Amino acid sequence: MEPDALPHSEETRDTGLVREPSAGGEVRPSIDSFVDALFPFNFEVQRDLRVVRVGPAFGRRFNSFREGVLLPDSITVVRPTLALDFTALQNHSGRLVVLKLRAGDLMFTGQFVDLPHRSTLLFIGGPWVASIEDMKAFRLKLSDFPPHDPRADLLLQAQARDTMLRDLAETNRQMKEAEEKNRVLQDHFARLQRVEIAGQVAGGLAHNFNNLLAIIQGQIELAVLRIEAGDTEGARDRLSQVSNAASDAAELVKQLGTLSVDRRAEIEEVDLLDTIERAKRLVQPLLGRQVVWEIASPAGARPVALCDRGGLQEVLLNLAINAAEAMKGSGRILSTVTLSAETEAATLGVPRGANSLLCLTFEDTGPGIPDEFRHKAFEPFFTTKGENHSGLGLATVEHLVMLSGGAVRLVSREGSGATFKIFLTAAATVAAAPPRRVLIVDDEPAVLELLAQVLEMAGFATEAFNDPTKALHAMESGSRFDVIVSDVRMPGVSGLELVRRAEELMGPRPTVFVTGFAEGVFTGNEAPVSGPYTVLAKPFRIAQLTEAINKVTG
Amino acid sequence: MSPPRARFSDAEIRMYGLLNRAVRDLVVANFGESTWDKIRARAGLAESRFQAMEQYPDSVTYELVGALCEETGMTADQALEAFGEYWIQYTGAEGYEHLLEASGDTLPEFLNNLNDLHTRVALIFTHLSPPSFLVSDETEQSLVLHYFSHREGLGPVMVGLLRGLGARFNVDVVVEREVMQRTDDNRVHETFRVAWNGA
Repeated sequence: MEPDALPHSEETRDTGLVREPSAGGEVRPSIDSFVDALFPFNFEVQRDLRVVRVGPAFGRRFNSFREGVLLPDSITVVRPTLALDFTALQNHSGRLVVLKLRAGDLMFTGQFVDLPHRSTLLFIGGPWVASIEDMKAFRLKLSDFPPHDPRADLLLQAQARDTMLRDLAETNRQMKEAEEKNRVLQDHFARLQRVEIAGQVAGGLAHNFNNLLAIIQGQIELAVLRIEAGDTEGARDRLSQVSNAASDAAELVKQLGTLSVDRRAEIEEVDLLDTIERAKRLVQPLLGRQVVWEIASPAGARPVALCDRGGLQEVLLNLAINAAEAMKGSGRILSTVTLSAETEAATLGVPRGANSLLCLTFEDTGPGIPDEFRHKAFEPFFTTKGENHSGLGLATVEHLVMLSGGAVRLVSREGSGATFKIFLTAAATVAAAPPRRVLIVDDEPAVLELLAQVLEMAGFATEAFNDPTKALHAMESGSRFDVIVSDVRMPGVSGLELVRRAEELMGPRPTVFVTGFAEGVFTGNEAPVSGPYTVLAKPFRIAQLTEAINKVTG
Repeated sequence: MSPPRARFSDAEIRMYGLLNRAVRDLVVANFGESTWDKIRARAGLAESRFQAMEQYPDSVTYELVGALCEETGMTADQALEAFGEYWIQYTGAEGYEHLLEASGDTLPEFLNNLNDLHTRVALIFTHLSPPSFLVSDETEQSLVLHYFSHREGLGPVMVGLLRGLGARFNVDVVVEREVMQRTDDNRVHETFRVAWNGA
């Protein structure tokens, strides 16, 4: 049917408009039907506040609000604060007004339009609901909003936003749950690993313990024999040995106590070198004599970190046992504590605060870790050592270092040993003291180079000469040194002559003489040099050299 | 009928993650978590959880449905119909109950509002390309629902969806999938004659 052929007052399906004849007999939609289509929640009120017309949506949803009712019986003005009289509403026409329908408490936003030719006010607007959920309470449907009304779009957008927020909250909850599970799992792994390590270390200590028991047993038998022979002094001496062995045994048991399986992490000030020494003493029986564990640090420094003492000890035990296995029971471990380069630790997310950062480097002389395995090294159960290994060692190391607020990094390459760097927050700001300058003199170039390398690694600044006369020239030209390390027998100028001349130029200096053959040199009653000195016989181990320097520098 | 597969080169056409999540829940509810893991692996999908309002390429959904058919032995029509029926129940439980309620109190009212709803969704999420609908030949107990979509092979979803709506409004629904045509802009145009008895 064509629109023009529609009969008077028939509602069409397409537009919902009511048509009425114009003055010329032409059928046109009435203004009321326009208003009803655009604002289904409209109403018109006359001067005595009687409602003379309501929009179709009121009829559908709130039919108690209908033609003939008095406005104050059905509606209150929420905003602005207006007296509910015709003149007040008329004066406010064209401006935002919020009304509330008494039946159901539904609010409407909109405006009054003054229709002077009809002596009425027309309200046009729509219901205000904040969410689709709220619509249910008022029995509203999306179709109650005319198609052009953006309120329906806003409600759908709000629904989408709520769904996204709910999703995010759920994702957040799942992530937290996963984190918690991960933490529990890590703790469990750490516990398993602690049991494994405790078992291994205890095995090594049991060997020492048996030795001590053998000493105790033997000395008691000897003491009995002395008593029988009437030698009470000799018996007392034997029993003193028994007492010493018992004290050593007690110390062993005490060390085992630090491996308590259910220990809790506790952050405290920890002397790193002391902890390394303790770990070394604990694990050395297990490592065997062919594994040499050397400890170096910037000379004289006693670096103190904020960390979990027991956790750090476990870290060191794990790394040491790993290293010994990798080196197949023979090789060298070097632990060095230095002030950390801040940028390196910062990239690993170690919190520093106002304090300095310390780096505990743990190196071995094993085959190193292949590139393809390096990124997996800290994963639980990852092992290249076969079925008899749990693969929890390095995962536990990482977990324990993290519990100490630090970070661990594997920097080694295949074929050049494994190197782990453990970054920890220092207990206080440690001023990076300028490295002490060491004068190294040895006529053997290979030895000279080795000495220089070792001392630089230990944190010294070195100047090396294979000709003592050149060393003297340097000092005569103004070079100054804090420590002297010198060979004794050298062509031209001996080590003793060199040091005596140096003392004339710089005053007494701590000196370490390194020599393969020093017999007859240091036998006199008079001190050969003015400053503190010691003699280190070649060959020597790195740790012996750094210990010798520590000894003369006090 | 072979399982539907993605046929769109236009990577911009997306679907709600909510839809993929519904596929997952349907599988888990009927076949268990392990079957879902197999389907996910078969579809080459790494994600275990979809974000409801995140947009995913259509291909993800097509791959999932294809893998579901291969894993369970269902035909594509069976799988898609089951999904359509489940969708109504699922969205109601997933926080869209009020939206469903706001969309109509009766089956015909709901179907008459379906297009407005999808049109508004299309305006909010411009990449989602939801289908459009038209109602014709409406009587007291029947109507014809026209379904237009850029996506192919999803007509059976509509069959399931109409059955799901029948259950929601507590009426017995008979759905006849009538004809498939193409619009001038090459969209699929399917018609469904829907008849109902009861409340």
